[in-house]
Amino acid sequence: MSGEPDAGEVADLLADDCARQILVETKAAARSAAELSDRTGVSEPTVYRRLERLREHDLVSEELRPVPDGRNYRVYRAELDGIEFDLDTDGFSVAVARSERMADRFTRFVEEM
Amino acid sequence: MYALPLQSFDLETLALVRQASEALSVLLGLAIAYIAYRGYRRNGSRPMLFVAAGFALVLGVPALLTVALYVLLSVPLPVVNALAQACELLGLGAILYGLWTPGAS
Repeated sequence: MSGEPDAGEVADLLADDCARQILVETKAAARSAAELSDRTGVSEPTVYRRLERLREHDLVSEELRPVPDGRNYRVYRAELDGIEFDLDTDGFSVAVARSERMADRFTRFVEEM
Repeated sequence: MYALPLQSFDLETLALVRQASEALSVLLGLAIAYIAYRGYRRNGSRPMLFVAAGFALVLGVPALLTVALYVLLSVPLPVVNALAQACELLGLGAILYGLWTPGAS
């Protein structure tokens, strides 16, 4: 995780239709960029650009799908349950609610031993 | 001193419960192995691959070996037990290696 996300950048990202659609489509299941392009009706390069920005804020994770006798491909998954904007005297701050999956917790546990 | 009332102790039920718990521990072991494998896939963490393989070898493979070799192919029990034991040792070694080897991140 790359520290506190910037409220402006996250709001900007969520204002984008394509980015929001990507999050919705990858919430229940991991999908490849080609699938996302099909489902959102947006070109693949645009999907990749949005995925890159979403990944910068750790809102989406990337996973390699190994294909026997073929080219491996990458799938993407939404990594958040919600985003909360809080206002105080210093300005807006963003809190991203994530559900850490059992597999990730187990990995952290093993790697930190 | 008093004798244990053996009659009230149903040995058949005990054997059945033991078999069920054995099956349960195989399922739990495979579930842990699967979660570890997901951890490897999701985080590209090589140690998790060894942990996953380890759990499968310690808890999953010996049971499968016993069923396949002893029950289906009637290989003598000491041979089956030796193979199962070897799998368990290999599995524990794999888990230990997974914990010892540094992760990718």
